[in-house]
Amino acid sequence: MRLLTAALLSAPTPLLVVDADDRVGDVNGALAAACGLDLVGRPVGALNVLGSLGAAVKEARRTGAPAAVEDDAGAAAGVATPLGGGRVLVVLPGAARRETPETDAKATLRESTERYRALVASLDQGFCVIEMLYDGDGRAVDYRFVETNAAFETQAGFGADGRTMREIAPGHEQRWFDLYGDVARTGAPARFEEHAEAFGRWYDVHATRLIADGSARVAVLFTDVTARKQADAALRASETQHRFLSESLQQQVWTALPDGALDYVNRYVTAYFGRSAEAMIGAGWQDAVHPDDLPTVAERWGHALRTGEPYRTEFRLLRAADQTYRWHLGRADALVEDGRIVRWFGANVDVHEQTVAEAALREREARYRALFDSLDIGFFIAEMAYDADGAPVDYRYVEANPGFTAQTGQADVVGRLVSEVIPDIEPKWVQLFGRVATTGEPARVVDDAESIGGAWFNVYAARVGGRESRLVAVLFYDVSEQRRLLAERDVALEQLCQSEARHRLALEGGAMGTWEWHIPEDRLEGDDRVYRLWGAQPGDVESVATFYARIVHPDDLPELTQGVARTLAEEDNYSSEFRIVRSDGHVRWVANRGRVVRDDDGAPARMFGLSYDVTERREAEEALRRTNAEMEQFAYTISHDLKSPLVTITGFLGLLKGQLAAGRPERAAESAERVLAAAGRMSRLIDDLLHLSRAGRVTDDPAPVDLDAVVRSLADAFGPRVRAAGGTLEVHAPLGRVSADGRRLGEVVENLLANAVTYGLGGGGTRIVVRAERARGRALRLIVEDDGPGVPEAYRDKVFELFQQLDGGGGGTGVGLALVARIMAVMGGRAWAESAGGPAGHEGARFVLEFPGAAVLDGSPGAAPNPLGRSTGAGLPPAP
Amino acid sequence: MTDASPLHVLLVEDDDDHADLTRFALEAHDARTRVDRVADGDAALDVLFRRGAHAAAERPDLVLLDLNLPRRSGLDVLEEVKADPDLRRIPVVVLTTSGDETDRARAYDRYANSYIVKPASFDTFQAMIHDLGEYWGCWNPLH
Repeated sequence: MRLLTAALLSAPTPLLVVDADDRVGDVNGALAAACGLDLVGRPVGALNVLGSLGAAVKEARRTGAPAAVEDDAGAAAGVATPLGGGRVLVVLPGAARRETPETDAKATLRESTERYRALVASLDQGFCVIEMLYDGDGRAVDYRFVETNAAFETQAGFGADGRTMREIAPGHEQRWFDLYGDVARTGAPARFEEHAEAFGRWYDVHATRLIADGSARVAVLFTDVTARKQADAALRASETQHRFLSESLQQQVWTALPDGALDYVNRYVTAYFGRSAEAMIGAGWQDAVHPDDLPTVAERWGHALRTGEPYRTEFRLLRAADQTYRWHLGRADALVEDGRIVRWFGANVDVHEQTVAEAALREREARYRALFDSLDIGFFIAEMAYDADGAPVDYRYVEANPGFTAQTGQADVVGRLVSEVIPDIEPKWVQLFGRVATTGEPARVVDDAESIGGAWFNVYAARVGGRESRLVAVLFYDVSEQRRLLAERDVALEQLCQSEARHRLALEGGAMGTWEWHIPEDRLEGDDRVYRLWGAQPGDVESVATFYARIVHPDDLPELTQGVARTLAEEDNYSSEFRIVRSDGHVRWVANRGRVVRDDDGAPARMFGLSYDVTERREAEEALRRTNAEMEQFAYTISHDLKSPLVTITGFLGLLKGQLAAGRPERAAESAERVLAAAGRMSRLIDDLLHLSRAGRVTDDPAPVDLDAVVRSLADAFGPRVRAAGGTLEVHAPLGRVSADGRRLGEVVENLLANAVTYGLGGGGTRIVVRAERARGRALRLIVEDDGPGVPEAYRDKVFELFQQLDGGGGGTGVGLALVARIMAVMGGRAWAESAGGPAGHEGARFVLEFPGAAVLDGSPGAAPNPLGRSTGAGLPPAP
Repeated sequence: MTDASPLHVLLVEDDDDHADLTRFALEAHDARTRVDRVADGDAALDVLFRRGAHAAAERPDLVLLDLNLPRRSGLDVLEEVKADPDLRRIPVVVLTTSGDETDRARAYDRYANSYIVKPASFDTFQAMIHDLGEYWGCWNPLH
């Protein structure tokens, strides 16, 4: 910053630097020369040369952006730019000064000598004729007054009386003699203003040679201008300075008559416009003004000419040398005498670079400001304050964006010390920013600030400027929420690890394994348990995708692949369940739970997780799903089949009413029978449904059941019905012993016998056989078959469904076989129907109950397994 | 009521009581109504497609179809009837105890002409059958 200041101070454009204490700190040579005053140390407010200077300095400090300096007329005169540290640079291309009139050096005296003679008597100016006196070398050394007029003594301040000048005033300046001597010698008239020390007067003098023949006589017309000269003295001095400065600043300087016509231009005007002074004075300058700017220029210049108010404008002027327009600051002030404008003094200052640079700067600044203002990120520039030992102790906010307020809750902090804004600010922050200012090393930290509500901030600090700068730019934002999430994740990871440990203890059998996937390298590592679970070896995993493609069930692979991709893209938690087909063909359900760890850029780096076997749970869920579906079907059919007898009952009761009214008792009795039958059917249905619902529940503990005893008892009970239907019932003992719920088993056999009576014998059959046979392994089959019409193949599964009857009722409720299937399933066995193999039309139905080997007890028939799984009938004595 | 020729109805109903109630109601509406009844889905299709023992069966003017039938279900019957270019114009009215929305939707999905839930009151049942006979007796363009 110091270097910059030094560079600026050497610039030809007038400028000054205002210190933080609002006093002028530095003034460059250009400005010092322009104003002719020693401004250093003066308060800015006292510099009334430019009305808005003080305000502009304040504005620049407040906003941190350049602020315009305006002159008394409100025109742009310069720019105040904050330097940091409270210092402000003020550039004044308009050269804060007051132009003053220069002497009218261009006036000429045109009157002829003869006319002087005629006039002199009546003149109130002094007039005399002098005769030059020369020394031996021909140099004019004195003159004698030959003639004087009446006003001579008043104007001259002395009487002549035919004396020579040296007689009157021996010390009269030699230059007077030289001036008159030149006029006498050359014959060229002269006009000059000169001071005569002897008389303490200034004289405005017109001198001309009287006779053209070499005579030494000179006519002199003069006026005492002492008063005016004294009044103008100070301004005259300034004018000299202005001239000098205007040349040294390379400014265009011009003067104009009250009507606006140029009557003087300096060499920079002619050089810039590429025209002679005469051409400029004759033709004017307006054609060199940029067309866009001309209306404004003309309007302001016209206004100034009419009112005498100062003329200020910025406009573009065409530079002849390269035919480019350059921005100029134009200004002119009127010289007023006796309430009348005498002449205009003006200057055009080339501010092109500055204007363009300023515009670019403004634009850039505006862009950055907009950026910072729109960001939710806090931003401020701190100016560090140090103690005597150079340790940072405080800082002052030089600039702060709206995000600062959003992040900290503190507003209007610019210009204040942090110790004022946040009194209990932690020293660590001051030290951090101090270190950044001292070392120039940017710093990024995430730390908490108890002083700002305990929030955590991500802070980036960097020094602004060079080695000597005390300024630190700080970007910061609240990361409390992110930290909270991170902490949550840590806890979750901890829990994941803990649960992994717990499961490892709980499932020592090795169903749970851990794995880690190094994502960029696509390398999967697992422990022994996970490889056992997958049915794979560590070397099998060449890449995760191909490994999964090999071991995962094809139906589950797409969802698994998509889930992994989705997790990597947008989530942290990964969870899926899928089937693995092991090399031995076994299918197991596996649950994968994982968590993604990301690098600083948010790219997934690793995923680690757990795999465990969930086959049993999935199977239980599947069973539950099936049960739910069955329940739904159950409710549906119940509503239908319970409603059916109700329709019958209400229908026939309605008929009954009409039949009674019509006096037809026999028809009424018939209807009443129908109602009673339907009610009875409904009652049976409800009983069966109750049975069925119990069948699905946990049964009595299994106990040894002697099938022969069960079947023999039932056969006795069914005897009358079988005989009534004209058939026989044979039981081929021994049937064997199983471990089962005896009561439920009895219900199963009863239903099969009832079914055989109703549909077998009822369908034209004559014989029911109950027998047993050994199946694969230890399994035992109990068979009930008849020689009735049989069950068509298409309906052999359907008959076990609830309320599925092959005929329109036939006395059954449609529940019996459903009950059989349900009870057998609960006992771990199964039931099915097949053909009994009879001739067409009398195929016969064969219902098979299969008890699992585990339930079969010793003493059962056919202890040796039958490789064909079919009974040979051997050892099964025919029933009587 | 009707000057038209008597209505010929095929009643597909496994429940004897319901079949009788429906028959009584139809005859109360018009004593000349001819009601042929079958008790399961297979028999219904045999009649309609004139198969086996029913090769000489007459085509009915209207089918009253229960949904819960032994063997082939009412919905299966409906689907086959409506898939056949000759039979699809015979109006099929589903007559069932089921008020289930799914059943109703399935029936209409298979182009049932009407879906009627068997009411729990005989009077309502009779009035309903009366309206049914009236409507199909007068407006069936094939009749």
